[in-house]
Amino acid sequence: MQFNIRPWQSIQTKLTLLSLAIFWSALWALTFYSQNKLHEDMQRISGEQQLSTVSLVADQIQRDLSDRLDALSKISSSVSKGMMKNTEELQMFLEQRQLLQQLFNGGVTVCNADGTAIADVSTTTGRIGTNYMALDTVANALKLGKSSIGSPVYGEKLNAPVFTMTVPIKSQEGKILGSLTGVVNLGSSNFLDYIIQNQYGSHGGYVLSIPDKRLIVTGTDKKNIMQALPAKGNNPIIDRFVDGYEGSATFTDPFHVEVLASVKRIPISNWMIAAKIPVAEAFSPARNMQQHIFSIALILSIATGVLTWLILRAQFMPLHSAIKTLNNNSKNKSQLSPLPVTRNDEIGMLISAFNQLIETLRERELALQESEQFARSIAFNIPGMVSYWNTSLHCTFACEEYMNWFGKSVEQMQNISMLDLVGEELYLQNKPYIDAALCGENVQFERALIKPDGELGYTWGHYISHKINGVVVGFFVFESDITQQKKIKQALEKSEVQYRRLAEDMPLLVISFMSNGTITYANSLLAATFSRTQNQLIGTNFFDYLSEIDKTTVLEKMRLLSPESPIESHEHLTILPSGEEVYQRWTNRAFFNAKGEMISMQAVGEDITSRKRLENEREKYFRFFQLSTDILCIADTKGCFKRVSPSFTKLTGFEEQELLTKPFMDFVVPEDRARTAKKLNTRLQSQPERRFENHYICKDGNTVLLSWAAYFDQESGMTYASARDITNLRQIEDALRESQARNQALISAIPDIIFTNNRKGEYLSVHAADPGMLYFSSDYFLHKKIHDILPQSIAEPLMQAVISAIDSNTVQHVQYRLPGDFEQERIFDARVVSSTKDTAITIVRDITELEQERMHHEQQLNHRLRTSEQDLALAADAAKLGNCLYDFSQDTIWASEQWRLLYGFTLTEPLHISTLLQRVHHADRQVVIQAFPDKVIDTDKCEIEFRIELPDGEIRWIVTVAHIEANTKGAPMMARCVSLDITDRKETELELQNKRSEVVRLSRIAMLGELSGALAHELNQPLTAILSNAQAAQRYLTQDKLNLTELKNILQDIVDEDQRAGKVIHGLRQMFDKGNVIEDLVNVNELISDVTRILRSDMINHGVKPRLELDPIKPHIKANQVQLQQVMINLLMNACDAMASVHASERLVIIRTQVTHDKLLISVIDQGYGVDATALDSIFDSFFTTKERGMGLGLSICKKIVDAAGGEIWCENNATRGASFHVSLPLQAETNT
Amino acid sequence: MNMKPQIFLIDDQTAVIKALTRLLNSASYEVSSFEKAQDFLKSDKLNDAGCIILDLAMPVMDGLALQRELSARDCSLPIIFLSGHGNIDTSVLAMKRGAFDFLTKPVNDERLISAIKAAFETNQQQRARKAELNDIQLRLASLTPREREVLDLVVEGHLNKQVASILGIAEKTIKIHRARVMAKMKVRTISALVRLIDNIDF
Repeated sequence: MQFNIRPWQSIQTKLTLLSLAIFWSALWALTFYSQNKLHEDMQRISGEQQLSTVSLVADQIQRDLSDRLDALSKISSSVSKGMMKNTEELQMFLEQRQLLQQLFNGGVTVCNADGTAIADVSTTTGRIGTNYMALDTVANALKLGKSSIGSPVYGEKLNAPVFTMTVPIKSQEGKILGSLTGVVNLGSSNFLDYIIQNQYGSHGGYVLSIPDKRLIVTGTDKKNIMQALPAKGNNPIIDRFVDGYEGSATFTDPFHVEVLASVKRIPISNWMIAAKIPVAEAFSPARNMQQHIFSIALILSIATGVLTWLILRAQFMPLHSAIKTLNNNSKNKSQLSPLPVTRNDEIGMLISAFNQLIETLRERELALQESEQFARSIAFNIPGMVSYWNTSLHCTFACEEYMNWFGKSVEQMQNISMLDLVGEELYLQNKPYIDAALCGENVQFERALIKPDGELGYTWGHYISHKINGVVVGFFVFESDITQQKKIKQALEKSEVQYRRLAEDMPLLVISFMSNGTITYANSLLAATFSRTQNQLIGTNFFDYLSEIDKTTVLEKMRLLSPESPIESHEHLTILPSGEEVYQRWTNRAFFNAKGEMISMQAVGEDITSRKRLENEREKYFRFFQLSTDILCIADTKGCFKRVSPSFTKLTGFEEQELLTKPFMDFVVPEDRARTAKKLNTRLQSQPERRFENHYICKDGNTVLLSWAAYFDQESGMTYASARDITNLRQIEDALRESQARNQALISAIPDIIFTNNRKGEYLSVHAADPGMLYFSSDYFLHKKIHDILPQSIAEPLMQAVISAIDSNTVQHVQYRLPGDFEQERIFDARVVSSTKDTAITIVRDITELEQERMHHEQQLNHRLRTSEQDLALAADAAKLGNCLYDFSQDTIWASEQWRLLYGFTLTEPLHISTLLQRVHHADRQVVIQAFPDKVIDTDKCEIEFRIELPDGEIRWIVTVAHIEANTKGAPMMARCVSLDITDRKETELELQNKRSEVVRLSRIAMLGELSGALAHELNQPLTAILSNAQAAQRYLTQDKLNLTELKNILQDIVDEDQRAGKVIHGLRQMFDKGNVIEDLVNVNELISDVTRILRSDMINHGVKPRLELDPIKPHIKANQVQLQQVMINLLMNACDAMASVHASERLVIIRTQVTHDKLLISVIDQGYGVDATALDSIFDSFFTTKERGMGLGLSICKKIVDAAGGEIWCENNATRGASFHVSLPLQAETNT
Repeated sequence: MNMKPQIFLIDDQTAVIKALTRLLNSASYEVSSFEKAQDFLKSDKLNDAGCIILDLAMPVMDGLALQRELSARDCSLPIIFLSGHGNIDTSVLAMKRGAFDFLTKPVNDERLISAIKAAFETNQQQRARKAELNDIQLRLASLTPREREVLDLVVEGHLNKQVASILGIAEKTIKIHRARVMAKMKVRTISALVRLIDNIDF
């Protein structure tokens, strides 16, 4: 489809042009109308303006002319008769009248009654004497006595166009004496010029003419003077003006310029004055307007055109894009997709409607595709060739197989004609079927074809005519390639023939019969067996020929056959009709139909009688083979087992089949192979029998040792062999041998002398590593008794040992000495063990050297021990350590020199526990006594520090470490003590402690300084109340009526407040007090309430709100109240400082007490920024501070106080924010509930 | 609005309140006491006549904070601070912010009562002046915009003619406006009017 349209065919262009045309024509019509209207109006207005102007001008001229006439008349009346006579006088008179000369630039002339000039005042000369009767004005004056204004004439004297005005000079009687003529020179400037020389407009002007004579008097353009107006009839408008029309008109003037002219008459001279202006100028605004309108109209038209075109383009855009999409879709053959609907207008609706159409179309297309796909897949998948031919015998469809048949590609096949495809020959063959198909019949036929590859093929063809409404439009061709079937059929026939021939030729019995026994085939040999011909057998029942036993056998075997196992083979003995017993081997094959029913049987039989008999013979021998416990086997010439007895498989673990498949040498252990082969290869020698041993590999990897006896049969080349497993036998032999050897080796290796004695003490055997070790030869001992050999003193215990060793079966030790070489006594160690129930073995060892060495070692050890004790004593001296040993049972103290020095005892003074206790400082005596326990478990170690008072009264500090040893009953037996003088250290400690308490006090004072403000406030409150109450009371007392109740109340309040103030002061004093730490029971809840009260104003200053969460069990602890207060104050002040930079609403400190079973936990929890994790450990150290002005003592003092009270203090950061300080203190029993 | 002057006693110490109330009652003053600064703010007494005796140190909202809040709410009650331990800084700050007096605890009754008397006086004057100003403001509010313009120009000392030319209207109209202004402002003479306006401008 062509989607490109010419621009002039587009609706868009058409609409644009149409709207443009309409707009244009309307615009032009409007322009034209307005222009005409404007023209008309302008003409009217301009004409009116012009007329009024010209009227003014006409008025002016009228006035000027009449003025001049009046002037002439006045002067003429002054002219007397006498003057007329006296020309000189007249001339004088005239010259004196300057006015006339001003009014008439051409001069003034006086003519006498006959018209001859007699006096003249002018620039020229020569007028006097000239007769001016010819002048109409002069004539009028002289003849008619009338004043008149003349037409312009050419003044000869002036040589210029002139016109004259003449009045008669009359005598008093009315007689005309002459005339007075004023000449106006039009050629030079004159009074008319003042008026007329003004241009009308820029190009227009005035024309003063005499209508009667159609003569122009003068005009703006001087050239017009004396010019004639166009002749009558030439210009109707001018004619109309000449005829007396006063008004405006447009016409073309004699100069061919279209002009607007207005005319007015000047009655005095019967002239007319015309003002004219070129129409071009007069109507120039209209023309400008016209041009503007034209250009605006043009621009508007173009703009409208463009705008219309753009709007239309925008409106049609969806349509265009829809068309484009559709075009693309159809070009690309892609799936139809819905078109986008961009605007909800007619086009949008059109596109939506179109989308619906597309959707329907798409659905239909899909359905069509599906059905076509379906048809196509059928056509492609049926095992045959399918094609479709139209009536002009051109192919429109062919399946792949069809194309393959003809060896054509898809493109080649496209629309190929049948003649081209199949060739003329085949075409002619097919022609009748084609014609039939085209006539609407369905035909089928088989035929042979030469395929394109040259092979002969067979097809089975169907031509099915395709009719639509009964009219044949083509036909379907179905061709099945039956070449294969055809070939198979042929091969089958051929093989049948061959098979028959084979069956005939074979020396076997062959028979085929149906399941009911009807024989379909039997070869001649079989027929001969039954003494019949083949033809006689065929068709008869096979079972009829069989004996009753055979028949049962056959039927039995047939029943066993099934489609799964259709072949069966068996041997059986049968008795031929001849009475001969024969063994036959039958192989039967059954044929089944699809339902699994047997159709026919084919049996092949073989006469195996001779073989069978031989086998039976062999079988008898085989029984022995099977039964033998020894291994029996037969190997062939290749070295493979032909047969093995079951005992062989049992021994080796291999299956019989495994043994038979490989050469037997493979089963022999590799090391034994060469030897075995050598043994066997000697078979060619005269001796056929040979014996050897070798190792065989079993299936489990073990080896067995076999002892073989083999016989090589030269005739058959077979080797017959028998073997016995001798593995165990050999192993036992080996083990025995090995054990004997080892024993022997062991005995020879032992450096001891070994005797064997019986119960009686007789020596049964003697062994010595070195014969020199014995005092006698070894034979000497045999059958002698112990008593015979050894001295009585040794023999007796040894004999004893032998007997007890035998009886108790335990090892007995005997040690004895005998004199040795070089007069040296030697030491022997004898160990006696029972060997059998009657004998004992005695092992004797010479331990002389060993014993000597031991003794030497012992001596060394003793020496070293002594030395180390001396060293220890030296060390003790150096360290000023005193040692002492207290014996509990004897109550004696052994003490070192140093110890005695330490305690101030003399070196010789006997020491007891009482003497020691006397030395001990009376305050510490109890401590020392308690250190000695009544009962000790194992060993006890204790360390005590105490003071002693030396005889000179000096007090010294001693630390003693004691190890107390107990006896088995746990009673203390011995105490080893080490004592050291620690006076110096102790003094340092005490000094330090004093300093510490000083620091604590100082810091307390410092803190009090800080608290002073708060305390002042605290005191001020009760004082204020007291003062105010007291003054109130004073006032009440001055009143007349005493309110005693009120006074009583006042006094009570005063007392209360006073007490409160006293409490504050008391607490204050306590804080300053340096006195020793006094511990008493403190109610912690109360204490905390007090502290919060003391710190109230400070907390207010810090903006911190305290929250008390106190345990309802009022906890009592033993502590110094003031110190604990100090701790709490410190912690609270720290909490306040920690929250200084927190928003005021969040400054909350929680003070919590919690009682556990034996502890009190006080927590101060703030909401500040917490403690830096690195500082958590060091925060309680002295001089550690995070505050700008802190001394870093507060928390360290707190820690010391808490430690002193036996408690703990620690800090941790809260999970949410801030830090918590916890103080844990041991709880006292007095805690109230 | 209660016109009898009262003392508003604000102190967090019950004992102090009790004692001072007693003392002031004995001197025949009416006392309303509050233990928290917020309680006073919540009460409707901020425009009543009298004075405040205020403790400096209180939890949550202290005396200075309350003073600031009261001045923000345009409360004209004079404040006498009563401090436990007044340091110079706080007292100067309080005075700067317009505290009427600054006394330290414990306070002598005469000293306190004389301070209260002076405070009542001041409060009375302030209230009277405030009432007057309110009245003038009400009168001014009753003027139309044009009348207000006329008034402003007249007060500046312009003559009727000048006013007419400035406003571009006839002198006759100005005269009418001016008469109405005088009537509405309830004055007879221009000098009285000028004084009136000077009062509120101050």
